[in-house]
Amino acid sequence: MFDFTAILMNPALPVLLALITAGVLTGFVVGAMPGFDITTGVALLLPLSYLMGQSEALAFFTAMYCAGVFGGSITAILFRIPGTSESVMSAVEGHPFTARGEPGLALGVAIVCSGVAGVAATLVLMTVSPLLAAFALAFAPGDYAALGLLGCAAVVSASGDHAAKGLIAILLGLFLSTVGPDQISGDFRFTVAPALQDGIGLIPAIIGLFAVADVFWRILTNDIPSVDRAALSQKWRFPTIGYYLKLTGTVIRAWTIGLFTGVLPGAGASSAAFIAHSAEARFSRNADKFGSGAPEALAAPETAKNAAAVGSLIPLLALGIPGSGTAAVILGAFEIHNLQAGPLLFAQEPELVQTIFFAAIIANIAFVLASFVLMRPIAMMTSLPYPILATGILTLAITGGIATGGLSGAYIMLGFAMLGVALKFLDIPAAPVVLGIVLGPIIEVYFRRGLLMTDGDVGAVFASPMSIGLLSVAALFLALPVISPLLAKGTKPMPKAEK
Amino acid sequence: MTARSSSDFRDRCLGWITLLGGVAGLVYVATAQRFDAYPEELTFVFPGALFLALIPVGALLAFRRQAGGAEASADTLNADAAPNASGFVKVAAFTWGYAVLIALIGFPPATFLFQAAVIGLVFNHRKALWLVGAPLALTIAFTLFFDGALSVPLPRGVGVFYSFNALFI
Repeated sequence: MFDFTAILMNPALPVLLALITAGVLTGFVVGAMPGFDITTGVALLLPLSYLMGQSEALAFFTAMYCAGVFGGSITAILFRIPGTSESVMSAVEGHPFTARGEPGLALGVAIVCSGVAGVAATLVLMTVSPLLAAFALAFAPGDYAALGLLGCAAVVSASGDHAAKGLIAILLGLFLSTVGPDQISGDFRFTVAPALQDGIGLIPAIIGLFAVADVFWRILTNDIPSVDRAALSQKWRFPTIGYYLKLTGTVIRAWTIGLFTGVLPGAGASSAAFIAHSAEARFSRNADKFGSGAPEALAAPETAKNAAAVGSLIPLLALGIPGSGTAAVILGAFEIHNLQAGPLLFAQEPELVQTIFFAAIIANIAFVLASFVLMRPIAMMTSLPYPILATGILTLAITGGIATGGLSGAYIMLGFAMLGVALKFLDIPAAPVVLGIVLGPIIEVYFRRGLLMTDGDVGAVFASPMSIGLLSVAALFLALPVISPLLAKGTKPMPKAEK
Repeated sequence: MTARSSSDFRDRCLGWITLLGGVAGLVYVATAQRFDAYPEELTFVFPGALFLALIPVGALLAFRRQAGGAEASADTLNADAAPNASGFVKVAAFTWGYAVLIALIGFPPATFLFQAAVIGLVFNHRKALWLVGAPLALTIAFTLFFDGALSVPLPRGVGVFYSFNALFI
């Protein structure tokens, strides 16, 4: 099913390993930098893909993603500043260790739990995604459309209390995917400006929505991150083997939650961290210590987020449907190299798929080893003044927009930046918009192909058992936000973690 | 206005925008010539369905009664906090201006001016090191990165700027 012999015997292996190492280090720094999300980092650095071959580019970004999801925990634990949205629980549960003078214990738990979760999830990725891809090859057009609808429903369901806003976001993304030439008739739709004649490019949209909107929003809300470096002068004592062994049960539970959450489109590593943390509070004997730096309370989100990060690559590779916002950004790297993620990738580009697996597993091992050595210098690098970081991000964003779509790309990117600010103001998540842009063409093209094949009979398009099954699960996902509060009324409320 | 009532008001506005957007889009798809020119291509189906779906969601947000306990997310603008609206307007204007200027005066001068403007007028740093040193260093770094390492064809501008920028990129 997976065989790394060809990669290991390849004379270009040192270059590949160097790029994976570079990806890990870049991910570390980007993830750790306050005000610089890993999704933003991957989006901004996508133009680097032009410098590399297909395999090298995807290996670099896979490695960057795996390390970047963990990188946010460094500043979360040391300075209580989550470097990434995935690390909010790490700040809540990890910083109390630093406050007690034990940052090494928290960092050690975070590093090892993240690394173990990442490696184990990669093994599942390597096993499950080829099987899923082979299974998906037999899909009819209606099944693909139903799968896309399931992805949308999962995104709405993952929006929790804000399901209506999640639905608006995904509908907005689906609508934006219709701008430009119709993929079946070739007719132009909603092209109100010349820059939109070719449609909306995924990369300018992502850079605008995540990178530029974040800078604009931080300036608007005066949320300028600053770092107190006192924690760096403390002595760091890392955990013993026995300390880790006590966390085995927590890691297994959180890993399972993380992996399944990651596979669902839209849920992503942030949701996984929150869900695993609250689930662990139900299992743990130390539930009363949650919120004040209990080892299980930190291990659960750390494990879950890295399992989810790798898990989100399963639907991306096997079905062409990204499991998270960052996975959607990585899809941009596929786009740059004219590659189509999905079941055919396994048949047409088997070496490329093996390289991605190889990169994921090496990156997860490498970041554990590198963390213990490079943690302190990386933490010191995070004190780059925000004005420099912000102007750097804006310059990179404009130039990245130009590199990927000319001046039109830059204008589209800025349009999406303003949209991103409006979304933040209205408390609407941005990731579903991107997932809508990705899922829109999948749903529309396959649905309309199905309609053309069945003379416009919608029932016949979705008549296969697979379509019925997928749509039933989608309906369940859509019903969950309505059903959950009704079910919760009958249960005893959980004690809330102190923040 | 409290943070929660402000959040409720925004949700209602969002509901109305969504509802009206859905209705307007549906009317457009139903009447625009481009969507019924090729009925056999079914061009109206997908965008039409999207606009139709927006209507009930918008109505839900516009007309629902708050059950209580719904809190504004931490990311939402807090009504009690003082937003830096002028900073936002400046940075947005400078960034749009940068995108326009880059085609006229080329990448290196536009980048230097943009960074000096943002650092000086948005972040209010007025020392020479910040206003000149940082933008100069960043401009050189980005020019070397995009032109030297990535071979991205950076805009050289027009007229005299073209000749000037040709010395560097």
